[in-house]
Amino acid sequence: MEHYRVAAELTPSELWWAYFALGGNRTPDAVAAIVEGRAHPDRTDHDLLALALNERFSELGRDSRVPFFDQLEA
Amino acid sequence: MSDLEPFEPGTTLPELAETLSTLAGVVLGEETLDAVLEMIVSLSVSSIPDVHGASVSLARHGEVVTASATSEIVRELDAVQYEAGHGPCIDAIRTGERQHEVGAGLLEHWPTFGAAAIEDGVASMLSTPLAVRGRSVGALNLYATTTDAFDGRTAEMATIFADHAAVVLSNAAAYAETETTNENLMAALATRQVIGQAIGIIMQRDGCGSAAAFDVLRDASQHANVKLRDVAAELVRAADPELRDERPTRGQNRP
Repeated sequence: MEHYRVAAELTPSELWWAYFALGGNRTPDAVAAIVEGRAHPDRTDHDLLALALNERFSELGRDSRVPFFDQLEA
Repeated sequence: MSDLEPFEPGTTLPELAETLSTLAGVVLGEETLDAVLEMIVSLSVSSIPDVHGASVSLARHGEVVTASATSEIVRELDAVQYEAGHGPCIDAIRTGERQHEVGAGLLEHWPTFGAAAIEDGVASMLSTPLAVRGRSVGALNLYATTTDAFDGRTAEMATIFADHAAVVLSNAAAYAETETTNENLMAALATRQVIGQAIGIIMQRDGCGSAAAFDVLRDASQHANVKLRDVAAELVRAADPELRDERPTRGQNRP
């Protein structure tokens, strides 16, 4: 997910704030581990991060989208 | 701040250092920052013999400005440096190294600034960089009327003042970060609350669990290309009779 974060022009801290605002409960370190691929997110955390990134892409007027968890499974 | 005694000439270094440490500890906000910088420049003038003017320059948003000065002449001499793009304070900030020049050396080293300074009676100048977290963010500028004003002990005193001004700046920066964190937290908690309320409404309405309710919000948000927070807020507003019916005069007619 790291390349999405970079493309969204968000610092790790900004992404964590967006994730937290949407209802995420993990610490900044735990979120960083997920984003950098060092830990596997559950469905909720994956979707909250995807949503935070996708909302940011919309703000920037980009077409890029992070797939949601159920879209990954399909 | 007001209960601090002004310094008399001849104050010892340990006394100065102790009071400056106290100063550094009380900094909380922008107003206090200005007051402390003002105190540092006036202390520099009252405690260092032959210094007739002092200022603190700060690099802010790509330009150097005078944050505090003991007189209008000092402020003008600082401005000459900013306009010319050279001068001891500019060089101190850029190189992170102390700049000291006396007499004709001022003119040779910094022609435009040197000419203006000598005309105003400046015989020597010392600019000490202010380092915050290893970065040079400003300078303490001391203007003197004699050529030997910054020898030995006085240069040491200038360094003490500059170090404390840097601590003050560092504290102010930390305070600004805390303020930002508080603002982020308030905004995030408000968003979490409205999303939580919306999830509750959908769970009740659709008889589903919280994960499924979140998916409903998520899909509505993505399809309409509206932020999830705004979708949630609209849902809460529509479901809340007080908000729905009385939005313009909300809260005014409550018992």
